[in-house]
Amino acid sequence: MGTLGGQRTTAWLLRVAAACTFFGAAWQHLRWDAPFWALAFNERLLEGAVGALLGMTWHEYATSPTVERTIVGIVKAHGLLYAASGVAALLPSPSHGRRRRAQRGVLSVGAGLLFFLSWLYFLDHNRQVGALLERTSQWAAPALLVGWLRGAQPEGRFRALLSMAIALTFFGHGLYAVGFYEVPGAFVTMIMNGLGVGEPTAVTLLHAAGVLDLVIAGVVLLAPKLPRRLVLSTLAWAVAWGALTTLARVWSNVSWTFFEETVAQWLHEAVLRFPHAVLPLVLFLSVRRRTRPTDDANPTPTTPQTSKALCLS
Amino acid sequence: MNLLPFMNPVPHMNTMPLTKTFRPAPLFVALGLLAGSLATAGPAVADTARYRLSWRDDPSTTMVVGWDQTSGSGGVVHYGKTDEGTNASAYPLSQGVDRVTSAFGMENHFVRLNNLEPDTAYYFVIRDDTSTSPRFWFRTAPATPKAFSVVAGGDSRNNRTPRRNGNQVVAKVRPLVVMLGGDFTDDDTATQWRNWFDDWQMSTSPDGRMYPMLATRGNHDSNASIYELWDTPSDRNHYALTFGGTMARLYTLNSEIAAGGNQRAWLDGDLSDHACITFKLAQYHKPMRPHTSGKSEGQDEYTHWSDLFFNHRLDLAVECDSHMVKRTWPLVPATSGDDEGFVRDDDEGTTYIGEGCWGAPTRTPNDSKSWTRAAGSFNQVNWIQVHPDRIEVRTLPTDSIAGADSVSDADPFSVPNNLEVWTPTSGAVVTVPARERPDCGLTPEEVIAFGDTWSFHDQGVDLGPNWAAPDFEDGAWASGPGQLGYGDGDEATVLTDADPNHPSVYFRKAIDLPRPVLAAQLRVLFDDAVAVWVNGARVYDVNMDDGTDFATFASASSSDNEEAQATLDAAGFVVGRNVVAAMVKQRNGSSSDVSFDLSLRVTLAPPPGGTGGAGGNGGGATGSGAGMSQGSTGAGNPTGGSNRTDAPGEDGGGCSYVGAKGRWGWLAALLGLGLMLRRPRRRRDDEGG
Repeated sequence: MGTLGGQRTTAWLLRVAAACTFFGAAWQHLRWDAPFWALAFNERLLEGAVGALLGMTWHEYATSPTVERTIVGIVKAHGLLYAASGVAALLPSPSHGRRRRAQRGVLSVGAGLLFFLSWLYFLDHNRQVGALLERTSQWAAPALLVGWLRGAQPEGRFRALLSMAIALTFFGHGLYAVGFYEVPGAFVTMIMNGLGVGEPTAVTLLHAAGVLDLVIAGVVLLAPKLPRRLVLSTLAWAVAWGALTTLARVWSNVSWTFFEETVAQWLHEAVLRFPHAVLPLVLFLSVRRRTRPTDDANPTPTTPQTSKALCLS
Repeated sequence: MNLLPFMNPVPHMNTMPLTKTFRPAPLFVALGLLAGSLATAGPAVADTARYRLSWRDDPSTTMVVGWDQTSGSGGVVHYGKTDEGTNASAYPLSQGVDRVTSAFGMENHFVRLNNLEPDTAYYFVIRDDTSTSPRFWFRTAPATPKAFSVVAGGDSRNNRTPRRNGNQVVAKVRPLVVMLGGDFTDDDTATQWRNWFDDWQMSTSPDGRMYPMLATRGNHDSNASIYELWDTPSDRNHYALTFGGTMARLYTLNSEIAAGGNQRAWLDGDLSDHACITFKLAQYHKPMRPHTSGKSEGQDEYTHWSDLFFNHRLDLAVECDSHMVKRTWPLVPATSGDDEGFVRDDDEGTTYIGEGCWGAPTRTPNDSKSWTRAAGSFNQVNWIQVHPDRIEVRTLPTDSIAGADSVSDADPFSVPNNLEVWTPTSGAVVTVPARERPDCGLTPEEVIAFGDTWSFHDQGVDLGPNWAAPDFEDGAWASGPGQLGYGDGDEATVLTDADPNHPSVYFRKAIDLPRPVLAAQLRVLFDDAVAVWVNGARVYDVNMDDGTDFATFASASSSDNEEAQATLDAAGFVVGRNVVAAMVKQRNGSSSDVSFDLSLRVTLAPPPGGTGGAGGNGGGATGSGAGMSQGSTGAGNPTGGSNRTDAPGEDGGGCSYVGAKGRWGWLAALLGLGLMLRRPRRRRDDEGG
């Protein structure tokens, strides 16, 4: 990671990953929906507040068209914010000044909203921690990008955060695939449609993939203590599996008969998961570079000058 | 001795949960014990609560009685056909617990009653070592065709007031059975489930009549919760029960597991096995085509179920999930002239209703289709009356239930006074008439199978427009078994791989059909486009938007060995020689592969003087028992924060589930391990690269 070229690659990959997640989330919010309802209509959590603040019974609140319109409006507003964040992720970043701060601010807000969205999914999935964890890479990608654009960051911290994001994502995904939670029907269907296998085979493959997900999570967390070749091999699989599970959303669900409808419904699901493959790729490249003697012999600290070059890359 | 007038647990006027109603103050306990020691009747304080009924087998002869054993032990159901009040000893029959599940904060006890008489009222109490429950009663289903009613709805998860209202509708409408299509609770937690069952007690009528539930899993439920709390036939939670002999079969499907695969295979087989049932109804959670725009399409359900609904003439499907109201005209799946994959067909279609708002925040129905009959936004359930010659559906807004009268058992199908019935412009009642079931007693047979031999022409010659005609001369064509093609390595017959590719390859096959065709089902394997003709008439095509001329290429690429299936018009076949022809197209001149194979299953009319025949309106061969059919447990993985205790005799297989505590422990241990072994921080400029 020490070379300027390597840093440019990292910055570029982080930008793409963040932008993809933002644009995917934007489409989801603007065209479809998001689980804001899980919070807004959490009767146990909000019934008292609704009565105290709005003077409405829960029944009035839950059946109010005004409340529904408000929630839909909030969802759409988030879609616009995500779209703006996606643009910000791709814009060249000035080395200093108000625009630079504004860009980082937009990206930070976008990352925060994506974390909030993950939490909403956690609520919507009956508070299953796996639902929260498996989306870590989606909000971590822009968060890491913000940190990267700030420059002069400790490489160790960056790599640790990157590793944690990858590990949590694969760990959360693995919990579903191995059957720790009930295996989602959509996962089984994806494997059946994608590989043309029957349901028992699909479930077996999912379990195997889930075990590998957990292995990936463990290896990524323990990477400094493990042989580099093992780490690189594991990360290569993580990149491939992250990409496959991402593309499977389209591959398995898009129907030629209902092409427009299914693309509208599934393309963004793939796009917003690009970080699931890209973040392991960033870590893979980072680990691989560390093996090169030229890099080791010529470390390139991030200075304001290199930071500027990165930002404009 | 009926104590119900003063111990009635049904809080129609009082919404206190049952457990609170019966949870005694210490003084009352002491008085109760004193009175109990002096009286011949059992103690009047129940250690049981959250009563429920369900069906997992023949509804005319069985019933599952369930409850939460809040304290005490040794619960036994005492029952009989005569009302003996709460005097348990007076009932002639009794049965101990068959299954116990310690799940969702309750000790769920289930007694599976068997050998009951059809269409009969049974009275019962539950007596344990310290208490006796209130007296309840239920009615078994008829074993022969006789009208009955169903209350169907879904989504009762996070608006308790309409949930209770909906339960009161059940108590007042007095159906034979309740179908709740998923999303019982919001988070599938113990507290919410206890609240839910407390509210469910309001569905018991003032005279103690309870109504069995056919429970469906929604996305806010788990397979475990439905299986553990309702004693459904399997943890896959798709099953079917027959009511009234050959009159109706009610399917419960699970849209939260794969719609295809094992579930589709089971559904297809079960529908075939019950071809002679007059009415077929289904309930499931995820709608195929939601009527609110934010909800994504249920493509998996559409792909795997809609064709089966059509092929087997399913009459009524109850969908949920969207928290609104919709009714459609009868629909059949179609890919031309369609709106989102459906066209209206009043003769052969399935009517879809829903979409679930038993107690949930309402949504606006802003995504109606050309075939939508009516849509609205209010809390409601559907009152479905199944008569021997028709189904009638009325939608009942639940908010106004308090002022409504009750249905009487003497006249169970008349709308009582002040019961509000939704009346859209298309009419208050959806009527689904009984119809002929041409496949009753008949078995489809495969007249062309994958691997059969086809004549083919792959020489890159345009054969003109008449090559698919029955009398076209194809004697000089080459022939070979399927799969035919090139480029994938899995072909039984390798076709010419020209460079550049020939745009089209021709296939023909003649078959003899001894009797008229009543139904036909096509499966075709192809790459990249295919069109199929029967006796010269094109009946099916995929990726042929640019036409079927020889020189045109496929309009889109397909997957390798893509499969498609379709129901063909039976009128296209004749008795005697029939020619099936197919054209397969390449995507372009450089595409690497071509594939083709075809299967055709037809249902032939019975031979003159043979058995079988049409069995509409409940007649004809039955081909079915009155019992239950369920999906295999397969490879499902039920979990759900519960520990199940299987009592002797339980046939569920002794599964065990990881407890919530174990989950968190595992998670914390792994995270802790990761934190312990994390790398020491180093600054980037300290890095070696």
